[in-house]
Amino acid sequence: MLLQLTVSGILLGGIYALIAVGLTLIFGVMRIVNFTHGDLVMLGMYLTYLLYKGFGLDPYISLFIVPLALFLIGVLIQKLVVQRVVGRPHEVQIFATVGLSMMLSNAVLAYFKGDYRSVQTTYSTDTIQIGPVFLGVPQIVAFGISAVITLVLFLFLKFTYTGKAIRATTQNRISATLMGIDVRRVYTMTFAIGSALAGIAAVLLMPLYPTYPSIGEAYLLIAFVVVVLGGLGSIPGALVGALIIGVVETVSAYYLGSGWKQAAYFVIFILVLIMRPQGLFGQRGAEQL
Amino acid sequence: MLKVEDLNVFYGDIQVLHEVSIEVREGEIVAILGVNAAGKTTLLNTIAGLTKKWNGTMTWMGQPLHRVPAFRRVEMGIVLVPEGRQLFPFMTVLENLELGAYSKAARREKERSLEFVFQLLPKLYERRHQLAGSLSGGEQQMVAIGRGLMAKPKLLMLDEPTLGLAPKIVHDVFQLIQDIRKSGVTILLVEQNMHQSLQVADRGYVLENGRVTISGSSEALLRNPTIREAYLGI
Repeated sequence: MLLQLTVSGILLGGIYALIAVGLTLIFGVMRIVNFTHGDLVMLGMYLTYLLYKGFGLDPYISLFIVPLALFLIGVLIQKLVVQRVVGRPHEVQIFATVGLSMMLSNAVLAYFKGDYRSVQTTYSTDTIQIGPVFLGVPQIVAFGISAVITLVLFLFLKFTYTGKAIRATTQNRISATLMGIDVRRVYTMTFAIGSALAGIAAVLLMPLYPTYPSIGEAYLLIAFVVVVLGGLGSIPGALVGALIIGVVETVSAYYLGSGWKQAAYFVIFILVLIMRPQGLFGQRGAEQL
Repeated sequence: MLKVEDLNVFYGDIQVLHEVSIEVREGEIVAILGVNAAGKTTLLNTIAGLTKKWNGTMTWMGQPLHRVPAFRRVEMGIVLVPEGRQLFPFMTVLENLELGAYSKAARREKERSLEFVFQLLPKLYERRHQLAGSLSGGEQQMVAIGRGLMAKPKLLMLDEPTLGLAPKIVHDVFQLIQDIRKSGVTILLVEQNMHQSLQVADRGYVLENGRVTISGSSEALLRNPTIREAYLGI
């Protein structure tokens, strides 16, 4: 049973990785904690739902639409709100992104009401047996796509000029400017990419779980715990952290009951802060840079 | 090629530069001299476009720089190698150099620039796959200058390039500055090391408390009694 739970947890962690990598990337580049990140996932889930309900689009076809829409929403949020608070005191940044988060979730609540919405696909409950382990088809697909996207992101950051500009800005904003890099454009690209990743995660989650207006809080919490566990601003840290949290979630939900899984995250969160405040892969003091 | 007239710069309410006027002509090495906190770094940062509150006029090849953001000035050929090197510590030497050639015009010349930099600084070729943060201070300074050259500068501004380096390496840096000028790059040099700077520079300006107090050719400055007494200790 433990093996079954561990494998399921790792598959789930793959989706969490997409959400957390976006959050940590935005933090690393802009030094801003994006409290709207969970709501971006929520918007993505509703968009997937609407495309399914309105046009009968399979979620996996929405994979070509929703992330693009989220990318554009990300550009908009960056230009209208986030750009104005970059470099300002923390309380200003927190008020701005928390405020936006409330606005988004309440707008969705007003329009859709509080009901759970879900997408029923023919493959939602399909499973494959590998040795002693049963795996859901949507889970496997989600993990596979997450892995590919993460790899693409890594190659993008490593080898393209825009990717290098993003890394340079993370390491030294002033120097990046002196290289002729338009740092504002880098901010916009980063925020949009982070949002698109949240959009991909949203599409992958939709065949598995229903959505509701305040679901963003749950995913934001998970992403925070993952990012702190892995080290603020560290992408490899976010990947490993996401897999660990995925396993913690499935194991604790089985043995303690699903009501306890958030308690389990927090125990891990607190242990990390006590024993290794910089996270698994973080540099000490990185959060202050 | 660069003309700065009556420049006033402020940090918040504090005025750091007062009516500073300097000029740099093509092919020159011009030195900005003075003690700590005289405003030398502020002057370079303002020319690079990094300071926000300033007034006065700055023109580059006859064009006003008023509304030109910092990253565009790099494309125009105004390149600053900042104080304290400011490398990208978690990138290799090669990646640092490649980022120097980020602007569009420089990108096209990247391979040739890289060859030029490695020829000028062979040590960097040996170290090209090491992380920039792991190098010694002198080597990091070479990376910073090399990275500046990758941008294909017309005017290269060097802010305290010898700060904290061993005397032997200080000598190398001044030699390098002369080599760079020979390759056709104009240089604006900020230094505390007045004697050696005036050996390589054509002209100099002395900044004191944010004002230009003395200026002239290097020979004239080296003969100036005030300078001899206050800065050279002769």
